[in-house]
Amino acid sequence: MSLLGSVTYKAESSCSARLLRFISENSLSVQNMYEKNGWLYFTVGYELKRDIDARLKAISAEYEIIRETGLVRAVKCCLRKKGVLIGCAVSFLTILLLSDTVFSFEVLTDNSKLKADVLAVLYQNGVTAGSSIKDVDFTLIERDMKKKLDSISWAGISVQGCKVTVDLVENVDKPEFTQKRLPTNLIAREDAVIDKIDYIDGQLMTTVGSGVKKGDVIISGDVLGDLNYTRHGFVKHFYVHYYTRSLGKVYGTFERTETFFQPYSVTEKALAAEPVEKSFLSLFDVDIPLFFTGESSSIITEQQVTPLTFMGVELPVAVKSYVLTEYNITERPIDKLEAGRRAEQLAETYEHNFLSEYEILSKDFTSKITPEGVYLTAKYKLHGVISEEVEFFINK
Amino acid sequence: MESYKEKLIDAAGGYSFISITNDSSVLIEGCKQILECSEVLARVVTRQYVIEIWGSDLKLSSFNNSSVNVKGRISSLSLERKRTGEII
Repeated sequence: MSLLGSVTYKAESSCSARLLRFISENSLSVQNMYEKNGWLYFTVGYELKRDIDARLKAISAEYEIIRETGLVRAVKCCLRKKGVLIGCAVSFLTILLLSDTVFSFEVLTDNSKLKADVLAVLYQNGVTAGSSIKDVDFTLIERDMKKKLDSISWAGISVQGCKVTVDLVENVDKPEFTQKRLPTNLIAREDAVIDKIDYIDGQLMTTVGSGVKKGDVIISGDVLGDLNYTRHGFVKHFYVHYYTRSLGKVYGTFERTETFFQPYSVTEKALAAEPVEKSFLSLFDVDIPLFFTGESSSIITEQQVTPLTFMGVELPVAVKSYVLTEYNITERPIDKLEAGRRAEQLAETYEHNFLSEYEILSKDFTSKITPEGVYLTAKYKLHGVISEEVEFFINK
Repeated sequence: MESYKEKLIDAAGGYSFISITNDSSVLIEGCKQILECSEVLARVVTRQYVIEIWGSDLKLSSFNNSSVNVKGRISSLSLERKRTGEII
């Protein structure tokens, strides 16, 4: 009947004639009017309620409102239940305020380091959990991200509700064969004697069994080739000069000498006390301690975060637990024997880290004991790839 | 052929129009007064007639353009011409 709603009356039928006359004379819009069991039932729009009430009172009719529908009834219901009204208002205000707030971040990459870098750039630009979305210019941050992070080629930031999603396109390293398109030489990276050459392309400059110095060209990309063919009994002979990428592997034997020093003391990290677990209430970016003692000079070894979630959405409230372990750094004196053993351990570590690609043909250790510590000189005879590819440029 | 008088009355909106839709609805335009609206009988006065609608489960709705709609199961409708000068 109307947006405001309608009211259904039940009035005694003894006064129906006068009421019907009133309705007819005033051309009122009345719905579903009928008499039943001595009562007249009818429905009017809410805007006519006052007139109908006044008329029914004027003719001293007994009546009651048996049904109300529409907006007015809904408002009356809400007014009667103030808790619901206050709850709705609080919810509305909360949603209004929080809809402009960043709650969580999602960086669409599997690279954890890149993810940390992206979050750092966001932090530098003032985008943290709890910051206002409207105050942030994401276009500028995208540009800043592309400028600061070399490992990405494109970054796009989108805001979905309270979540900031950063989409990234990472740089894909070109395959090695496409990286070097210029003519290249194969040079020696050690002073060595050549044992074997696996030659694919280029101009061989030396022979197996020859000695080369570091930096000597073994296979050159500057090739002067000669071609000849026979035609009608004549031999045609001509030279071809071209540039190419030298391909191949040159194996050689060479020597390397390294000196390791071990002083008569070692630095050791000793556990000072049992690990202590301390909890913080993390609210947005603020960590509120849930303990009362001052923090000691401990080392954080483990962190556990338990975020609260609501309807699957991660809230910016979490309980963080840190396991704090205190260590004492001490200097322990050692004797000559242990110093020598430790120097050998250093040599072993060196071999593992730097000589793993070579075959160690022989090694010779010489110890020298001084008042400061033990010097261990290791002389290695190695076999392996001694060639290195370097680009050269064609002069125009 | 309509007389000039009838044409004048029609032009002045003096006639009532009654639309009957099956046995479920009767729309009367140009209603002057509602006399009765019980479940079995609805009586409506127009300029020339007193219209009686008999049936069951009758429900009457009036609109502010002087139209009346009677809905329900309608069994009969009768027209009784008003006598000249009769006041109802």
